[in-house]
Amino acid sequence: MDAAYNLSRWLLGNDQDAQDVTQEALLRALKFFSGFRGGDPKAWLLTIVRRSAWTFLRRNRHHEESVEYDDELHGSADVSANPENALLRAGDIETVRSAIESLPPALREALVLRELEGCSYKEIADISGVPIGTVMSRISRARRQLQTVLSAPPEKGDAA
Amino acid sequence: MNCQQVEKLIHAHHDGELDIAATVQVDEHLAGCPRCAALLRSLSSLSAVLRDDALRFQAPPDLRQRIRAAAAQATPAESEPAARQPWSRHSGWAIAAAIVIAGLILALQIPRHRADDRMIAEITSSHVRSLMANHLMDVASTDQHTVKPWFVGKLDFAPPVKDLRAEGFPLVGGRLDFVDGRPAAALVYGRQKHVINLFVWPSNSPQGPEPRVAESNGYHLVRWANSEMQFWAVSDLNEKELLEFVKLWTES
Repeated sequence: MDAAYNLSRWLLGNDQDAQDVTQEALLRALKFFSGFRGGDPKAWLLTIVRRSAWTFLRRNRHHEESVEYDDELHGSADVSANPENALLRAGDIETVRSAIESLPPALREALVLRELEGCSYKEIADISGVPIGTVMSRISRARRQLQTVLSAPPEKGDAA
Repeated sequence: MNCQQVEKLIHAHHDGELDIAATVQVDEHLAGCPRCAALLRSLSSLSAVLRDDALRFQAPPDLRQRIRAAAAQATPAESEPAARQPWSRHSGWAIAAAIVIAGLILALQIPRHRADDRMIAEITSSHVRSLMANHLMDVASTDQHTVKPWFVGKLDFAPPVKDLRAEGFPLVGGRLDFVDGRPAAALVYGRQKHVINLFVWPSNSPQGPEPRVAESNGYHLVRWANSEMQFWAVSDLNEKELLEFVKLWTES
């Protein structure tokens, strides 16, 4: 249940929508419980949560986030982060949070499932409905991007 | 393997998703390549940051209540479009729904400990295997200055090795093992007729220095970690003596 809420909160970006989607997904899970073919109940539920969240995004936002991530399009424009500098600013949890939020949704989804929910690549592949190879490349891209953002010099924002 | 190939696999390696052959190849490369080794370290520190519980959104307490209530009401009506069901049938559905939801909520709390259980099972079976297959030691020595160098070149880290002979837990040897998807050092200690396997590998979990005890199939396990390594001691010794061993080990 916390996992369900956590995932939808990360995908949707706000509390109210996340609550709605979690509720909808849990009720749906209940309704289709007969469709549960065994295995890990958490992965099964997260699959439903994820589908509900994407449907919600598509319904409520007509652009930006609703576009499914195109792995081919977003090639590996790899700005290799300097690992030595990485995470200098990571001590600040809010910085980390906004860094994760800045990731494209598909990368964010893979990263949250791996690092916060501790899912295996196979589980993520099942939940997101993509091949394991795609999961692997999304996770590595998400991490590289995070490292780049977190090792960049802090922006002073509007005040500067 | 060259750096380019390793860079492709290093995330999967970090996540324990590579098969044994690939893991060994990557480890071989890491042992001789400071740049890639630094890359792996940066992934570990990133994961450590991300595993902060503060990043996880907690469901508001009333959401659980609301879903339970909604489940009890909505399910029968939605799943049974023919609404002219006898009343008893409806309340039956509501009860069934409540039970399933409760079960679901319960089941979802279990997976958070699943990784733990998996490790406990894995460590226990490694221990049992080491006793069964006559493969307790790769290097038999009671001398820590023999055992420690033996690991050099076989692992991408240098495990701390201590002898506790004076305290009644003599070091008898060491062995390479494979735990949690990566090579680990297994230090073997004796206690009268009992054997203690102490598994050591670089820490990638936020586990604290406080020893935690578990039991599996009659074996006792104690695990702890410091900033660099994590340690799992497993033995058929009783819990008290195993904890004593851990205490002596960490304090010496």
